[in-house]
Amino acid sequence: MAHVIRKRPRIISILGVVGFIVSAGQIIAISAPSIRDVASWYPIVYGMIISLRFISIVGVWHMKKWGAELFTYVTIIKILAQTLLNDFGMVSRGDAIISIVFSIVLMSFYKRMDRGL
Amino acid sequence: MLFLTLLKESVLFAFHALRVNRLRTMLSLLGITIGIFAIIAVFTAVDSMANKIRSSVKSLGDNVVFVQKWPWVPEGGGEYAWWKYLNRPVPKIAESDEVRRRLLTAEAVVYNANSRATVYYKTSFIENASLVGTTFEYNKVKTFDLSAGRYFTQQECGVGSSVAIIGSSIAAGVFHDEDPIGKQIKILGRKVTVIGVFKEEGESMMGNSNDNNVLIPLNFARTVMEVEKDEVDPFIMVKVKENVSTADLKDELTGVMRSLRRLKPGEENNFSLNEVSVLSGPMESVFGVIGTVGWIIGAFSILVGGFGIANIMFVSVRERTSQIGIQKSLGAKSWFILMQFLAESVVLCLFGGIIGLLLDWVLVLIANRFIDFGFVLSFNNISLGLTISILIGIISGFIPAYSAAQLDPVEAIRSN
Repeated sequence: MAHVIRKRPRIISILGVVGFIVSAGQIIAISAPSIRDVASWYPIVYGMIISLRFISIVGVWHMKKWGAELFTYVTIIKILAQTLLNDFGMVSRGDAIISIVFSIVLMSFYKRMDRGL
Repeated sequence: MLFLTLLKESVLFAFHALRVNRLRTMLSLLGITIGIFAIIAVFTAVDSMANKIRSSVKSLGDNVVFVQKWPWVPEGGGEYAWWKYLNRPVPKIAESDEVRRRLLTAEAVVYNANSRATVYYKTSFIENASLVGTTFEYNKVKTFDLSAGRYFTQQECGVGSSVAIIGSSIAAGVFHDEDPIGKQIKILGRKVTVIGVFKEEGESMMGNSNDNNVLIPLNFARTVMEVEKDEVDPFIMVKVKENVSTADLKDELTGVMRSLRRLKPGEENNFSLNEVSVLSGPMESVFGVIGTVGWIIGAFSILVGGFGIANIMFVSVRERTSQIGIQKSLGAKSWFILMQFLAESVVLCLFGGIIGLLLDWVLVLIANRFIDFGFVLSFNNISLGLTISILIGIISGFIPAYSAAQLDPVEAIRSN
């Protein structure tokens, strides 16, 4: 199975590295008391969001369209969840703004990305 | 349907792979086991303690103000000026009656005096029981349940009948298997009829368990001890009315007490108004810190465990490269290969998490055997442990699984 090797733009590489580092921090935060305090079910939802975001970054790293799409969907879901929970703290707002900027950058490279797994 | 069949096949494949490498499997899931064990153990301990504090506060009265000689914390912050408090008068029964008459924001007012006494019944006795003399509205201020018998009547409190409600430890200690209701015990040389038994409460974080208490009407207590003396630490409990804040009650109570004690404007109060929240607040924040420390230790352990799982999954992919090539050449889709390795990683982490939770369960059983604290491994903590395990499995297994899914079948078959 031959697959097209596309050179990854530097900005995507930087975003990927940052994304992996942030994901590692967020994995630790899944069981944080502050996350548990939001609601008893929130660690589960938060954990799912973090896992999907990590997977999307792997996709983006490999210049896959599904990676950029998944990242955008997860960002929307996370913002919706924060709005529902009335969570507009500094960290949440910062995370939402950075994620939107990430999504815009990823979508600007969407045409250069591959289809398929 | 096809997806479910393939998922089942992936999981079975994963189980087979894990069975083949038992030692490697056990070693690689140790990190996750220790991490889940640490996090859930700390959360279980902290949750149990926090629940205990809340129930203790509730039974002591979370909307009750205690009028006492001694403050529970230094007044106005800083040093505990015991030499100032030492010369204060203790609250008097007459003051309690006036407070009840004058306060508009109070639902109930109770006067309490505590002493220690030996409780005798036939040849059995219990030393150092807590003797509590109280007024009729005690049951409105404090939350408790009776396992047998009844509460005092207003008449019994009024005339000072020699009746008592005893704690479960006292009942078990002197009556053994006998029914205590209607029996006569001897306290401070007086015969007292048992009319009720408190339901067992266990250890209390605030030291206010009724298990070792003997509750008697205040007017009876006056005949066996001096209830307005420093030694019996008398105090007035005032319960706030519904829809009134404790702060409002304290303001009104301060005014009434100052007028009763004829304190001039500018003169310092010679009484303390204590609230349970001043004790429970710092305790809850200490448990918060313990929870955070436990979480940090456990989270890093899980992170390291996750790296271990990722490493073992990379090894697994490398070992089975030719097998992947054959599967792909026979028509297996990339996502099936991905699912296969992802399932293996999730099963591995889930297995580690379950062992961690089992260890927590054993720890809770042992702790409950030696400490009367009521530790509970809650459903929330179990689901949190399992969720973390599954998510770590997905996160740490995705990159190896994805690299396996991306393999070229021809090159993969050639790899051996």
